[in-house]
Amino acid sequence: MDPSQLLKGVLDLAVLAVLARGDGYGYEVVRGLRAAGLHEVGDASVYGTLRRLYNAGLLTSYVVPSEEGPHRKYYSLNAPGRERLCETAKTWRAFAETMERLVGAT
Amino acid sequence: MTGDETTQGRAGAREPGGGDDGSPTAVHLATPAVEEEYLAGVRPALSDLPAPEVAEILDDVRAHLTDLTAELGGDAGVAALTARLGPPSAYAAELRAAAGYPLAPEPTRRERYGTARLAAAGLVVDVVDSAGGRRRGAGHRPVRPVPGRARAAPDRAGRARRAERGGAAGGAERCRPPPGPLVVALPSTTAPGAPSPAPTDVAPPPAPGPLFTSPAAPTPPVEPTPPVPPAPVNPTTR
Repeated sequence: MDPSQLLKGVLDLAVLAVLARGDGYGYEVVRGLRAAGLHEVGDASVYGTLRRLYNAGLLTSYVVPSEEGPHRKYYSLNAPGRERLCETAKTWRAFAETMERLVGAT
Repeated sequence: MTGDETTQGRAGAREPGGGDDGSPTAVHLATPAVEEEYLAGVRPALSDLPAPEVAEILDDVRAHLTDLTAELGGDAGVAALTARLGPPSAYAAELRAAAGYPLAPEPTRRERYGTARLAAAGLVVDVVDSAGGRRRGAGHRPVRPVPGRARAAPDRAGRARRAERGGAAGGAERCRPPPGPLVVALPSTTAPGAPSPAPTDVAPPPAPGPLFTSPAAPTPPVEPTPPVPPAPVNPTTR
């Protein structure tokens, strides 16, 4: 099975989890996901996900100016974002257990 | 001298033109033209979105391209970016799909591609959501900031601590969900101090309404007893 199909459903959770470790700008989040082993994730998908989470009020952002290039926009988990993370993580664990019971039995 | 030729040949195509002080930070000065060229391919695919949102996206993408060109050696051209990211139109379609933006008016090939991906994403989300029995469509629903559950409110400090512990494990145990409903405190008022993110010079997020085709998830019943007195959450910015 194509892992990228699986990834789409949990990308929100993955991005929230990366940001729970610390604020980050877009590409830092991409690298965080890759470093965690999610190599299939598309860069643009991460940027789109960040925008959606931000527009949903789950992230705040702030700009850090850079002398060398364009300024960096950092995204940061806010209280609703942390709450969503908890909630989604719980859902994920339940789902993963269910699948493991199912697949593990084969 | 071969290296010299290569550099010249490539740099010539994207001369920044009239550097202010002529300082030799060629790598950083040379990249914008490449980025802008790629961005020029992304921009039209976003033209139906509200201008402030487009500006936000392009800010992100511009920084992304800068990071990539730096990573690819600073000498990277549009071809290298395309090899890494795909063509700008595909990049835009992927971003749109992940962002959950409504489809652009004209059904071009690019957008139909976007639809397919959106649908695929929705399918998997559905599966995950229903497995946990939680409210459906939450991912696309604008969420109002909520007070309460802000116990661990010292934002910066908490984040720093988490960053030090550096772990999903730490985060997970910290945010162990309580037995009660997770979305408890939805009082009639909005949160003090936790409204829309108040960034420095980022434009405020556009009202999510028109941007999203929210599946109108029903709000869970409100429990009148917030577990914790709302601590002052202040998503301050640096």
